[in-house]
Amino acid sequence: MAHRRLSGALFREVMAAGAAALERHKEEINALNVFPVPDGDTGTNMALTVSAAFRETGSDPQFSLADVAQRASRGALFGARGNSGVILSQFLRGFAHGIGRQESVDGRGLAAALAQATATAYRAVIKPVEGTMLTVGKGASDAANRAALGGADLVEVLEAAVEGAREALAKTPKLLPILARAGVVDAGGQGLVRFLEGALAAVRGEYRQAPPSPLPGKAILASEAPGSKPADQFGAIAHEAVTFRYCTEFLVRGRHLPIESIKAELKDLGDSLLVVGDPELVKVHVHTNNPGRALEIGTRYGELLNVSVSNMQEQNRHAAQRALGAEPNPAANGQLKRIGVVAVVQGEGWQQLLASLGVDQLVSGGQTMNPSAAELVTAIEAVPAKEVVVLPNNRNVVFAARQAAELAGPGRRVHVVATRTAADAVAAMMAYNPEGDPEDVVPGMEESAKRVRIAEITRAVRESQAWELPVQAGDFIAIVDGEVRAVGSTAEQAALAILREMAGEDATLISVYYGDKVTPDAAKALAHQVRENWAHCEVEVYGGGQPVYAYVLSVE
Amino acid sequence: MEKIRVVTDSGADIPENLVQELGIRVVPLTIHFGAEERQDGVDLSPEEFYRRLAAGEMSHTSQPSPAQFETAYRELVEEGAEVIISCHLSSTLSGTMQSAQLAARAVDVPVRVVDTRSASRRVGLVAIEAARPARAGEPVSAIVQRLESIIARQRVLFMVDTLEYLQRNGRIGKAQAFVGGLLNIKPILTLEDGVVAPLERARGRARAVARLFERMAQTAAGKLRVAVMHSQADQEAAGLAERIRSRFDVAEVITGLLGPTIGTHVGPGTLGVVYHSV
Repeated sequence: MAHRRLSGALFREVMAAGAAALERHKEEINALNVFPVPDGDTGTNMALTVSAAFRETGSDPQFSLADVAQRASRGALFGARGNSGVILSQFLRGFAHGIGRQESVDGRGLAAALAQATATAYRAVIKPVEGTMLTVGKGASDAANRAALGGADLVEVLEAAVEGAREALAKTPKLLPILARAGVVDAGGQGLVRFLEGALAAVRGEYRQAPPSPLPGKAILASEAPGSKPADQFGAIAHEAVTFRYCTEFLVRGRHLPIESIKAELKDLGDSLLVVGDPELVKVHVHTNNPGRALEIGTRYGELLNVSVSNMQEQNRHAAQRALGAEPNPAANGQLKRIGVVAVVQGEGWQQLLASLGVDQLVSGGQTMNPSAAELVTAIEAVPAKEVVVLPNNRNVVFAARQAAELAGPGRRVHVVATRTAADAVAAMMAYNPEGDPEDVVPGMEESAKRVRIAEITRAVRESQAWELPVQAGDFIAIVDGEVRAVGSTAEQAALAILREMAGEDATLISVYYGDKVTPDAAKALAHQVRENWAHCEVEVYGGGQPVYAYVLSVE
Repeated sequence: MEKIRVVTDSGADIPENLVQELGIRVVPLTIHFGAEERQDGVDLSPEEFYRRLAAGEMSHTSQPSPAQFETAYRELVEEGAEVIISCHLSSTLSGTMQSAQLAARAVDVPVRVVDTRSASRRVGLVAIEAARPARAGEPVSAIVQRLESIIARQRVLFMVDTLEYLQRNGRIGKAQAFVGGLLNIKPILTLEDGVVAPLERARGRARAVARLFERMAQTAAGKLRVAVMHSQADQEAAGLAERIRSRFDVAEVITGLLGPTIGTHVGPGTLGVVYHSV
């Protein structure tokens, strides 16, 4: 049966339906990649972000729309992965803001909140670009508001929003030439359409499918937590009225901490369980009615730091402001330094290189697995410094890094140096001085990263006419500054071709970082050829161990 | 007019021709190779020193004794000195100041002991700035006052080939943060309040030399007095001096080798620049 008003319980269902729709369509969205490279993950990122939002909504049937929208907003802000996930989280944040304290809304109230959602998302992006998810969101909210002005009801307003989103999506290739050349629509925009379609099904009373499956990979929410049970049990749980009042967070410091065992012990205490970290430092987040018991479990494994227990009914009012009580802890690494660094990186070789250059916290992830804002917040808070530089090392992690910078606890200043690759991070680290003045060091790191030229070599999985150079499936392509700039039939050929373009008379150092599928011998052979052709340069070779990209080359 | 003479130590790295020309008295630090003791500049030349480092020998230094300073001061008094200005390695890096101060009390003429809060050519430039006006007959109080102002204005930038020597000799200071690293990295350092402090790192020597120059260009202004010093990096030092001459308004660029005293602590392959506005 179609709903007339959007209540808290219905909005929770909307989130479940939106997450399920994204989950169902994520491969289709992932495939909308302007590069002919198998690394698109916009669909995965958006599905994970909405799943995180849904899981945070809680299961209390008494929750107002305001309560649920705030909770979803908070869950999305922390769970945001990739640029698309971050923008989606900003839509949800604006939506919650637009709902304000309302118990429920009709079609007109929904349209107003959607307008607020769009405005907030535009504001969150430093340089809004048309032809992206923002355009699609605006198409949805504009159409919704036109319908509401005409007196449409809840379902009709959302129908208009879906239609407006689809029309705007179809226009994205006209607005962004790169999409037109690649023959695709914007992936984030497609994701937003799928999300709204899911939402519409819920509002029409047609949503009966399973809510999102738990997160894959390293992340973290205990799948057995009541909050993420399948949809057919969803109603039952709601009737049990299980509310967990206290959001309990703390760090456990110890040695050889068994993350899985800690998770297992905590899982029956409540929901929204999050246990992340490494064997020396684990962050725990749980919603429970028994925070004392959670802390007691923590103390059995190690020393507790940054304990924070907050009453979520109070907290709903300031959902976006998360107080973690996160004064940097000098004890965490022995000594407090002036500036610390967090870097996101994929590949064991890169991790070792960056750690050796003084990076304090490494967050695993990159092109094919973007970390969530919450993972970045945890890493930031584990750095024993009041000033923390975050090196996202991927275009698609930059927004999540900026979001994490805002979400990180008080007492810290977080600077995002928008590095695009780990090779940029190496350059940025040259200007890093842990005891320097942040006003000098941070701009110095930015400049240093800009001084290097980077090329990434990978294999095309399909043909593409999007670039000046025609690309056949199976070709190796060199990507520089977001453009395909050289093509070769082997990775080494593509590498030499792009170096001819990038490494001129003024170059002094060429670095070759080879990926996980390249043998050291092949890399050495390439380096030998580079040395012969660029006799005036120093040439260095390192095993980065990165996936997808056979070689990352840097020229300085 | 008082007759003023200037004393310094072998950590000042003043070229021999200037020592002769300005009549500066250099008291040597002792360089130890195991049980063998040599006097820097007396019975140990830089050439021999670096040859032995390259052969894998390890050296360390010890400060001159108060008696060595006392002897030097007395000899100058016999030559007619009425006042002595004694300029030395930073008290945070060496006990040389301590010995000089003890000796100063033992002689009959006034000895003004100046802590340059620095090392190498920075000490050398201060000693030279003391010796020139002293020969011209300026009063000692005016000279010492000017030296303090020069010390405050002086900047030093240097790159080392490896941090190993600074670390082994316990002079690494805050540059400890730059130790380690899997890449071919050259640290760029400075002295802050007489302690070695990190500035940045560069990949490879060519970039490091370029960054030294760029950093100097960011901070230097006006007419400059410059010293370029190096340990077995003659060509890079000459190139850097040439770039400095063509880029800045310079009163003087003195180029020369780091002697065994400083060489012990920074090792071969070090290149640095000291400058202050005139």
